[in-house]
Amino acid sequence: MKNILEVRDLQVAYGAIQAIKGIDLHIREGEMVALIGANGAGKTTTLKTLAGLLSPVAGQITFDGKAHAAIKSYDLIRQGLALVPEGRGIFPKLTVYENLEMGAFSRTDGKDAIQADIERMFGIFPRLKERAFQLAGTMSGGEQQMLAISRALMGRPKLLLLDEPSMGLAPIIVQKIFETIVEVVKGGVTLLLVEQNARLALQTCQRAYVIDGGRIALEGQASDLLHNEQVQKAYLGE
Amino acid sequence: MEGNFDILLQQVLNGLVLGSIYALVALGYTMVYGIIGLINFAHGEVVMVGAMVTISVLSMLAGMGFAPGILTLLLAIMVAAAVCMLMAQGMEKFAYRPLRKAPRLTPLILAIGISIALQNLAMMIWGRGYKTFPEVVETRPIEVFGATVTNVQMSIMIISVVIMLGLWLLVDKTRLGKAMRATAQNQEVAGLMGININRVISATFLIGAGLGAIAGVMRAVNYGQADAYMGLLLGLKAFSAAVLGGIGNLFGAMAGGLLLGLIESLAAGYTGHLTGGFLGANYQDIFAFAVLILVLLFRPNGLMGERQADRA
Repeated sequence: MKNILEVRDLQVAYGAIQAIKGIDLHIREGEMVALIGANGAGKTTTLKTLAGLLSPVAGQITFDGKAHAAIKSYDLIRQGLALVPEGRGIFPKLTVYENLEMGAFSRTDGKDAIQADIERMFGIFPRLKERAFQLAGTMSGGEQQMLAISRALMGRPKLLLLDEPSMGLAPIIVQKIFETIVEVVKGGVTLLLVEQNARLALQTCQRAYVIDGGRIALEGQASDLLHNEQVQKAYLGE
Repeated sequence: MEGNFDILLQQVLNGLVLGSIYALVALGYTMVYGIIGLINFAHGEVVMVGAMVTISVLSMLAGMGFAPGILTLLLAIMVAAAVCMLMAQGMEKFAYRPLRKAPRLTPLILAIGISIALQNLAMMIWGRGYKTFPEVVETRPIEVFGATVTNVQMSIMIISVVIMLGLWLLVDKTRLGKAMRATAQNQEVAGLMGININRVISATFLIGAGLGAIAGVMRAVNYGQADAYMGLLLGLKAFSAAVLGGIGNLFGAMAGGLLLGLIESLAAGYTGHLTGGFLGANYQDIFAFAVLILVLLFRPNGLMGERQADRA
């Protein structure tokens, strides 16, 4: 399988503070890869940079064979890269339905195809169908997360970046959302998952990177990392 | 009692004409605030330029032998609207855009600076005195239940309503409108959806400037004159109207504008009577600001606003 994403020596800074000090990673098409690490390790910064919300100070990103830097940030979704941001970022004063439509804003394949995809999302998350014409801001955190993921999928991405989908949600909802993520990925989407819940992330994904202090500290098969003593001590609380 | 009713109706009609103009200007303030959180204090000057350019173009056209009439007026308004839109776009691109991530106060002060600069520039171009708006269409009185409005005033109200309906359709139904609403709610995520937010913000300024130009012409036609300072008071009043309705809210700006027009007109008509002649109709201007103060004291989010106007 070819790499859909390649990152070489990526460095990102907020003013004088360097948050990402040079990371390398790659994701093959169809893979599920986790990026785990402590608070402030640089997980969200990495995802934001990949999604074009932050500009790197050094390093190269290649997405789907193209130089990432040459793609305008708002064109990334057209090229097939979608981010579900930390804190979900739904549009609170648009309805659920309109939020899904916004997800398809970049598409040019016509209303019918978009409508069919909205129905597909309603099939995956029936709760969204019940609340289709409700303002998104009035929904619970779990429902908003379902909406945020569905909205990202409406853009028909090749690579989906998920930032902390479990944040602030009840365990039973988290379980449902992760089951759905796995299902969706089997349908042909590549996934890069950022999670604080390292156990869940390692159980869900095939490979993982452990980021610490803006650098990749460890990488490998998720199942190996799950049994790695260092990982267990630092991130799994064993 | 019938005479009293006539006076009341007359004041209400005057108020609606005035209010239509306020509403169109207020929309420019509120749309820009809604999308980038900036109170564009230079908007009043855009309105003024709209009026002044229209007057200049009309006299130019008259010099070229164009007969006065609706078409000539429309042509002049189109030129003026284009000038205003170009100005607003320049402002956004070269002044406000570089400051988008700066502290809120910085672009606000810049807006005030642009406003002063434009006022003085207009004074250099058109002089200090007022310019008379040429009578391009014949003014005829229309009797409405004992009160009188002119055909021009009637047109102002009707055109305003049509424009506001059009704007509502644009924002509610079109692709641009959806992009505008999404950008207003969360710029970063709007970008993730594939929206070019710079273009959306630019479009918002353009629409606001177009509405402002038309409002400027309406105001000049209604009073028969315009001057380089007209944007200041009109802008502040329209801003008050936007705050009254709830800044950032389109319907708020429409309702706030109409309401403010009514308040002013009724106050002007009745203060003399109510204060036994102590205060006269020339105190009309204080009411807009009295309303602004009261709204800020008792309902800072305005009548329809959800967002706090606390970001200056």
